[in-house]
Amino acid sequence: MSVSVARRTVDVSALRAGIPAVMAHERLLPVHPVLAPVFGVAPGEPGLVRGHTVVCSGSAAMSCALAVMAAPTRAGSWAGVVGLPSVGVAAAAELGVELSRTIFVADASTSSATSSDMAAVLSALIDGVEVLVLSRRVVATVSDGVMRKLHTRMQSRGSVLVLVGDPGSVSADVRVNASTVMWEGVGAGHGHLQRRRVSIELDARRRGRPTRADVWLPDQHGGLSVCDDASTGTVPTGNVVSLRRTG
Amino acid sequence: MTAMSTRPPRCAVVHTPAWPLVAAVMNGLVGRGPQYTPDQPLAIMRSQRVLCCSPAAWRDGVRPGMRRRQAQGACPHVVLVADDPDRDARCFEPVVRSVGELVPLLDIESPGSLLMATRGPSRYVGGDAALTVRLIDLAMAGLSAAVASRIDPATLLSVGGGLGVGIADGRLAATLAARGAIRRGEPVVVEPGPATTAAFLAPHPVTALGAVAGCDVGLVDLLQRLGLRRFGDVAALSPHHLVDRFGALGHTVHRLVSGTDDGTPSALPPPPDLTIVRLFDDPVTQFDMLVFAAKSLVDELGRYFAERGQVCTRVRVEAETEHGETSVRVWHRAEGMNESAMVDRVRWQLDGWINGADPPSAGVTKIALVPLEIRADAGTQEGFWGGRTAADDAAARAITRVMALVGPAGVTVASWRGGRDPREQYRMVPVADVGADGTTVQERPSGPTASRWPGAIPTPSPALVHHQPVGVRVLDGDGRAVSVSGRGFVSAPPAVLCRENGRASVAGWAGPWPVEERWWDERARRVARFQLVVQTSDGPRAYLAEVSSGQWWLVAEYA
Repeated sequence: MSVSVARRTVDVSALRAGIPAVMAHERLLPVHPVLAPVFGVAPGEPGLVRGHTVVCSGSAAMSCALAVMAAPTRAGSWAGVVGLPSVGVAAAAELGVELSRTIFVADASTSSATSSDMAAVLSALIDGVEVLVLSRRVVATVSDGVMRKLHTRMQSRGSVLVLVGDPGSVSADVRVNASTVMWEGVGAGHGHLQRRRVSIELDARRRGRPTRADVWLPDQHGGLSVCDDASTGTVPTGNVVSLRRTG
Repeated sequence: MTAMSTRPPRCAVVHTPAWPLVAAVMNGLVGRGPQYTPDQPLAIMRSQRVLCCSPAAWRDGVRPGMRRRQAQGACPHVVLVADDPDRDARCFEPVVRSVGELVPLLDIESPGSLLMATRGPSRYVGGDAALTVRLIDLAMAGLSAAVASRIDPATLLSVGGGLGVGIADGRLAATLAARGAIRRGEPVVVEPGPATTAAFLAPHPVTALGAVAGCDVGLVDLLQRLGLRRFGDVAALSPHHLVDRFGALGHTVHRLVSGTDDGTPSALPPPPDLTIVRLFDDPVTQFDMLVFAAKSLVDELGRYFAERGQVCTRVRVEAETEHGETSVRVWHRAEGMNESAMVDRVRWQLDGWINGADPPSAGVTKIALVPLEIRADAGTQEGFWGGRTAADDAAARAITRVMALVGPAGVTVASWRGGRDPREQYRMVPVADVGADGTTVQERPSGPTASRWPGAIPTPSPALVHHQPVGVRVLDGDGRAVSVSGRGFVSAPPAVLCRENGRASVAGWAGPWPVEERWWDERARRVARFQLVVQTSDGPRAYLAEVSSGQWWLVAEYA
């Protein structure tokens, strides 16, 4: 009884403080139209639930994480990338990440900072950015307790955590496994890498079966596009200049 | 409506135009900085330009607004002093304290300028003329005590252009009177009444509206271009015409120039209970901690105003120690105080109190901010399209905090630089250098007109770029190392990629693409690049590899 009374007072005080009622779509961040069916929404609809932890794994994990952060940054959200000094910025730009709203924070383990500093950095970033991309190594440097606290803070702030690689003991709300099926465009000494067929499998909590889709990640322009079976196996003719033995 | 019918309050202003110079000389006299003499040519520099200069420097041709070299060219022995608002505020504190003995409620407009209502004090000392004399005496006494009578206070003030005292109806007229008093060399008292005030204001140029009353620069410029150069020209117009042309702003301007309204445009009294207090259980003795606490108070106040689209123009800052000593100051800024401006003022006040001549004897237990005057914030509306959003502001705050934690170089944004190597196409620029408002970053040129870098790897780009390339061995079908000749031929097709953690068979490869860069200097680089697709247990993986002097490196992975 006393518990319910306490909860009610909290709600009323929140209303008094002028916090507007949150509509369902405001709890969602946009997701790339090609990934939308995998996330269980129609293309163009937002599908990334604020407060969720998204784990990207598999051989195409990095590209997959960049694809996830592309749509929110396009829509005006800020993103923070921590502990991924080797992220391919050009690939991020080609996938549609808005670089002017993306902050890259140096890995604390490379500097003299300690793990408590890393926790402070992450909690400061959660206050300001809506998509936080972390590497596995960063997650490993902070303790499980700190990670849980960050997770709570993230849920109250409504940001999304994207982990690249094996999450360890972190509980994930959405697991995206992106595995390379094939690379196209390169032969035995000729051509160049053009596009990659990736099989994306999404397993979310409280959702029945994993959803699965094949996409081109990246396609021949570096973007993300739908992989329909008709186009399978036909290598698009790019501007291939083969070298000729002369002299 | 009531504001129209009430006459503006009678105000006195004590003003020193070049206070930073006085502060610099005082600072030297009390042994806190380099020593200067008042008859030396001195100039205060802000942002590489002269902010103000002493009479000796003025005689030699130094003028405000000059660049450093120009000033030194005009007067080779001029002494350039860096601007320091904290020093100005700290040195002004003795004057405030001395005048405060007569007039407890003072508005500090800026270091060097005090404003007060004269009704009580004038009656107490016996008239406006007597008040001007008392104010000058008190200011001189405060200065004299601060420098321990090592110098005549009048000589000291002459560095800053002297001390002007003006009394008139309303804040604007009093401020202009004080400025006039400096030119005339004697206090200016404008007789009370609307007619005399209007007559006093009429000859002043409209630029004073921007400099003194905090009016928009664009408006002042427009008035000038309309041929309305003096207050009298604007006041002669019908208020209806001004309202027709400028709306509510025109009404305000007309009231300002005709002397019927003082105060900042559309100032509102704040809600009576709007006071933000922070009590410390443990008395705080460290200055930095106090400022930090004050900052959180200011942020709280800033949020309150931001929600209502208002800005605070006058605020009272109160601090109290464990032993009951207090410091109470009213700060005023006609154009409104944003959060950083308010924190500055709190810092000036606390600095002058704690590091001044008569420091408190115990730690501070209470800080309070009381907004006294607020108005609608017309200056910084959030953008509708493409402007700053709340998300941008939140990100900017987060960036500042993260920079404090990892250092300014650790927080970067990507800026397009171009190049044929994936490692150098984007440069990571510290946010501290470019600011993070989502606009300053150099974008990659796109569209049909964008020229490609010759020799760059075609799209797609690798998603992982190793800044420390991984050394590997690449073998051909017979187990010999694959090499690239000087003419760019491969010795044999690559068949096996050997890394530290195992071997993988090469399923496809392309190259070599020779790159010879910067052969003209020591950064010369001659490599051959390959794309390799290798078969691993969890599917194919693609790499960008380089061969340099016979050694293979993996420089990027298409992860």
